[in-house]
Amino acid sequence: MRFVQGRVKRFIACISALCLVGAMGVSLSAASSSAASQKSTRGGILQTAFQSDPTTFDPQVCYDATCWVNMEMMFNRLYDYEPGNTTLYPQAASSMPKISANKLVYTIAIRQGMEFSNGTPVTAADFAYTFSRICNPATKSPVVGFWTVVAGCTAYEKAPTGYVSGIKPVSTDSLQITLTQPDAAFVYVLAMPHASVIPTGTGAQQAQNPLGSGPYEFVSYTPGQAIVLKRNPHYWDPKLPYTDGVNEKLGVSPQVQLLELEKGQLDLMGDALPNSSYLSVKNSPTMKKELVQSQGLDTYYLTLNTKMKPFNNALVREAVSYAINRTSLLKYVNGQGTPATGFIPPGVTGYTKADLTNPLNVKKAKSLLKQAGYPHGFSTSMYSWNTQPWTNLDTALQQQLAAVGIKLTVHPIQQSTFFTLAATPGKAPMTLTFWIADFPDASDFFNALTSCAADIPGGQNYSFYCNKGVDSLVTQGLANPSKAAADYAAAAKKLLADNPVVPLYFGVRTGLSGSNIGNFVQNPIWDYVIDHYWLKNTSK
Amino acid sequence: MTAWLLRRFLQMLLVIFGVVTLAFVFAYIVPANPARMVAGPQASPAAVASIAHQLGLDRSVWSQYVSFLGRILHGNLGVSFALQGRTVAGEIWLALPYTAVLAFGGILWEIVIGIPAGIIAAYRPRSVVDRFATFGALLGLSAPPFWLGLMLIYFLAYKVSWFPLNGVGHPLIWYMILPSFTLGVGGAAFYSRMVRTTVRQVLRSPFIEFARLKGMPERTILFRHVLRHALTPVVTMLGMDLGYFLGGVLIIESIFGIPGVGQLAYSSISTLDVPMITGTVLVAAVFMVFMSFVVDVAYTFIDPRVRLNVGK
Repeated sequence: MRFVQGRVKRFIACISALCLVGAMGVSLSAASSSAASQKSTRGGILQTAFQSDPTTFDPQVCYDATCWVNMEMMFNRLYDYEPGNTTLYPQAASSMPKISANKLVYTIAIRQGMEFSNGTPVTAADFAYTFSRICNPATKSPVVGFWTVVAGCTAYEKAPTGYVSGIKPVSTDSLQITLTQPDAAFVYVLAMPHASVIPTGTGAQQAQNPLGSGPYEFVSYTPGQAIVLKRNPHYWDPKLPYTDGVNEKLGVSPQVQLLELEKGQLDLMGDALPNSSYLSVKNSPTMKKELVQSQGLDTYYLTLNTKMKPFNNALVREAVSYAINRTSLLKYVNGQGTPATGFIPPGVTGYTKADLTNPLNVKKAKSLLKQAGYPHGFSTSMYSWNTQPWTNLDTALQQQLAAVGIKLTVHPIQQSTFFTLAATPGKAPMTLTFWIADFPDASDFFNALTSCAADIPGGQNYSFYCNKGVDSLVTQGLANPSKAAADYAAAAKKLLADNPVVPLYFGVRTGLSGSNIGNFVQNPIWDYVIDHYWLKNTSK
Repeated sequence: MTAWLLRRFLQMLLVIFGVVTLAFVFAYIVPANPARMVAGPQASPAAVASIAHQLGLDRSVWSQYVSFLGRILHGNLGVSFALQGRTVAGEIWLALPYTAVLAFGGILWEIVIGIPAGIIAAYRPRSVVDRFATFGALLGLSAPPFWLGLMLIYFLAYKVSWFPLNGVGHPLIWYMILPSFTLGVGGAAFYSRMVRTTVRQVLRSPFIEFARLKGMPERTILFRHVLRHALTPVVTMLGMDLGYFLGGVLIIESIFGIPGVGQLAYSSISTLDVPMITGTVLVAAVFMVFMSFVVDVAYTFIDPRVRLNVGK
């Protein structure tokens, strides 16, 4: 779930979560499809703006909105997503990985002739150094959990010298990674921003003086004011980037970004369109044609604490699942979502078209409560963040549950407090929360949110739910990529039969580009892929 | 006088110590884990524990407090939890000039608008000017800064493009006109009412009547006698305003995208960046206490009666 800090702010400002489009169900608007037919240009400086400063430029640590977009521009990964979807292609690798028969050893050929922006060659040793940094506790990488599947990563945490034992540069252009168990999603982990390669020994400087091998190179960063990037003359793909540089203004609220975009002072809003401005933009004759909506890789849902009364009773959880009117809830988020049909959103392996959720049925909900021993309903508490759209949804859910006799006390609280309370056993009977996929594989949802391993204090399994049957289907899917979709779908069905979570809606990403941007597409993971955009008028 | 200054200085230190201690305590009694905020929600509990250890958060609060005090006494405000590799002092040092320009600008608007408006209104009570000033003051006092700021941006920066929409740049003064006006207009409204009242009181005093009888020109009466009396309380309050503004003015900084101390404090609270929270609180406390000290000292020079009381 890539947010925290800046990303959180961005989320609050927009409600629509980031991401998406997706290999399936992609709904790129006419704006982007017509862009593809426009003639490309080279040159000019793309102007954009963000509300928040990046907390770091260190790729192994980056997890906020501003640095996330910059990772795409300044760094390369072994694999990356095609601009408008979630299909991987070899970027710093020359081909997709060769995986051994036991699915544990990945042999990766590094693209030859690649250089960092300072002209030094990119080698397999740089990747070994980069990946070992993630396992080094001194780096404080938030994604180390994705890397503990690599042999030796956990041991490296205790003795961080040399490389992690499971990561070996076989030659200058060949890298070998050994896993402790098969993990079909690992190739996506190699495409996460944290896997962006940096030159050996430069870890300490990256936070403030980033050096990578991406299409743009770093020029300057003035806190609270601007980030300046210019074209990397050493970039391996001569086609990219289209513009000569990017100027990113900082400290600009999304509302002001919108005004600057209208005036032509910005080419692109760095932050998502504010929820409150959505209708006015949609009704504006000039702006509406620049509006691009696409399905998000995110699910908004309720958690019901299976270890707390009354939700330890499966009938009560089922009653809640029948009490929700999803279509009505969407009115509170300005239509920037679609009713959830399951726990896994479209675009993520494991999503099925079949509706796995229970439809609104007040009569059935009441009868289930009666059966559970609550003929007159009960009172309980629900926690959520204290910002939009949560506060709106809190009230709506309160009304919907009141209709079946559940008296809900809502507690909108600050995010940091929410994380602690929701993750403490016996504290939060219900939470209203969300998850944005880190990569398009359902294991990202199951492992973090509903697995037995996450059913611990401080984890993300706010339902404190543990079902070995669901876990084993997910493990099975991870071990066998060709069957993963079916296994995940079965896991989702089994999960929702128990109702530890009640999916509400899938997010829709709403993007807005200025009229001078050509080839505008949004990537499900990166959001913006600025190196692929050109300026229609390069002299502006 | 020296003993009084010394005592006042020690009191200042005590207040600063108390405020910073409270900030530290509040940051720790919040039921939230700063390491979780650093690590992100995806991080496993083991990774969070490892980060907590790296940040020294697994030590007892008492031991953390002692090392925190030790650091402060050595003039070291620490390293930010959230902003990787950046020192608290360095970040505050970068933010402070913008807050300072904004604060002095705000004070300037308070003086430039508030004092003349008050004087004119006092000299022409119930005239059109007075009523206009009263109406303006009411508007200035009741308009919330976030609304006023957005209106100014919309009409003066967006519609007619007289000013930049947002942020800071060169020349800085150009970027600071609207924010400092938004900051100062509320105070200006308040001071105009205050000056009006005090000037009217002074104008009714026998010594003013005497000056007029002597044939002293009205301008001399105003500058030599009226203002000297009427502005004493204003000067001291402006001093306190300056101390308050220098601590960071979050709403104005947010609306206008100014990278000042207020923004820094706000983002540190939302990320539970404890060293940055205590650092920004310390700066705000120092300015507030220092300005109140300056005001006290200045008062003893302005008003001899206060000076006479010092020795007692």
